[in-house]
Amino acid sequence: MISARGISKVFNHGLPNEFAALHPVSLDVSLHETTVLKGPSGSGKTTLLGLMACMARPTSGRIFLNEREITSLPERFLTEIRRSTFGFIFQQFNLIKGLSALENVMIPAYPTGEKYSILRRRALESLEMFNLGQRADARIEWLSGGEAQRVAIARALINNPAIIIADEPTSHLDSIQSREFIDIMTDLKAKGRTIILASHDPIVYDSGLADRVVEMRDGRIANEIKSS
Amino acid sequence: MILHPGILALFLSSLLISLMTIYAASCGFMILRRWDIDSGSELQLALERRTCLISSIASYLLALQLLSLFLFIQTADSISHLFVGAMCAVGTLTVNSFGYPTLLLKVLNFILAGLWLILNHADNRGYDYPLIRAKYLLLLIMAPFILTETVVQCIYFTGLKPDIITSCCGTLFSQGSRGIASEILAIPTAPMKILFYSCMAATLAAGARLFLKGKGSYIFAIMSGVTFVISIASIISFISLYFYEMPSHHCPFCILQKEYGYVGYPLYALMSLGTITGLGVGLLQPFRKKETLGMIIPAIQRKLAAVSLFSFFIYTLIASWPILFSSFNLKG
Repeated sequence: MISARGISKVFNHGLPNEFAALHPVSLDVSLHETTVLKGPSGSGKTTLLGLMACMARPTSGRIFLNEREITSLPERFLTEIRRSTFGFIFQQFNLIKGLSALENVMIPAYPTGEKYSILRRRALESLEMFNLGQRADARIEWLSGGEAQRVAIARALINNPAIIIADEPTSHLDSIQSREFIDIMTDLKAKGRTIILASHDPIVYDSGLADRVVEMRDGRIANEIKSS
Repeated sequence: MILHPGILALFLSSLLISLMTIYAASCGFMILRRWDIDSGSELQLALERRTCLISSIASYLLALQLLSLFLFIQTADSISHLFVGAMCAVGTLTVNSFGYPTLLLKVLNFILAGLWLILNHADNRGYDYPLIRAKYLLLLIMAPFILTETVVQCIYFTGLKPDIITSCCGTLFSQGSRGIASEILAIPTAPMKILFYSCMAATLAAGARLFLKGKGSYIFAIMSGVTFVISIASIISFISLYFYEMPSHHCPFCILQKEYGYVGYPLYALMSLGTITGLGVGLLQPFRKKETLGMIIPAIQRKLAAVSLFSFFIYTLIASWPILFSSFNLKG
């Protein structure tokens, strides 16, 4: 379980342009479930997602991952947790142009020191799982939006993370591609992955994928709906 | 003179280290009073972020502090030709009354900085800042010495006047001189040799016991400290004589010069490394009971003991080389 206890995030603290993106919020996310953070732009869902995934540190409050407190961890320990526990799918995909799809998928696993040939084989298998085997050597800029999205998912899965974090994953996809994304996520959920998504797309939060929808507004949790 | 590159580098490094120390000490004071890892308060989280930054900067600057001791000695040696009567660093250090106090402060801060780096290394291995209070307490203890060193060094360098007639090492390290040097020189070389080799053998034995069995940390630390003092005394008493091949020249600085193959630098570096790592073993001993360091500290102590053993052993080899193989002897 990921448990956030009274976490807040203030940007430019103490400066004239200080901005509280997240007011003290508490939230428990169960493992093997899909949680969707829903809300308009500026509601704090991306900030909350980033904090829970150890991408940023809160201004106050603590986050526990399976009973282990993680916000106080020095960066070198946090990096290891981030690498081994979380797989990230970003709104803009954040794939590296100039590199091939295969190289992009392999990058997050380089620091683990895994043997190159084994890593390459795993990355290829991951791409083939998303029907991208023939596009493995294609540069990122040559891929369509849907293909880029699937490469981003393959990259998120390369370190075999228990938790998949996706921030506005369908914002650059059309409806058909968005539904394809939901199908992939549903398949991953069935395989036991925990999925946490931030989205204001009804295709995502109204889909059968979400076990729980947490509605956010003005940096606070406004409402919570539990399906099933 | 003040524009000498060595002096400028020493000024700059001392200034940087002092500024860092002031900031780190102020943060350390807050940590000692308010640190509470169980709290999720804004202050606690800010302290956690700040300590990571301070530790990183402090570790680089305190490594610079280690180097600055050697740079200070090298600079004092290299500008000796500017003073009438000076033959090596000894002459430069006696140009005014702040030379030796600066050197002593640098040696003291060298040891403290080394110990802090060891403590910081151990703290960084634990995920819950296990030595944070000890680390900042040591930094607070170091702060007045570091600041005093900067001030005394500044007074010393700004007070260097080339028209001053100073003393050479032959005067200061002769049996007719006054002070600690004369007392060391008054001891006959034979008992001093026995003392040096006995002390070194005991230290190496204590280190080997610690390395192999993990026992005797405090004994090894104490022995390392004692070895440091006896090693310096031995250099003045008899080791330097074999390098100079002169029965009356006891200067501990001339061995840093080209004529003697700069042998003083490895000698002093190995002696210092052996001492600091040896003392570090004892420094870490009380923290073995910390939950997150229970497995980590014994491994660090073992590595420190290995480095210390290696350093003292090589030091003894270098120091003994001319005693064993040169034609010079003190028996006659």
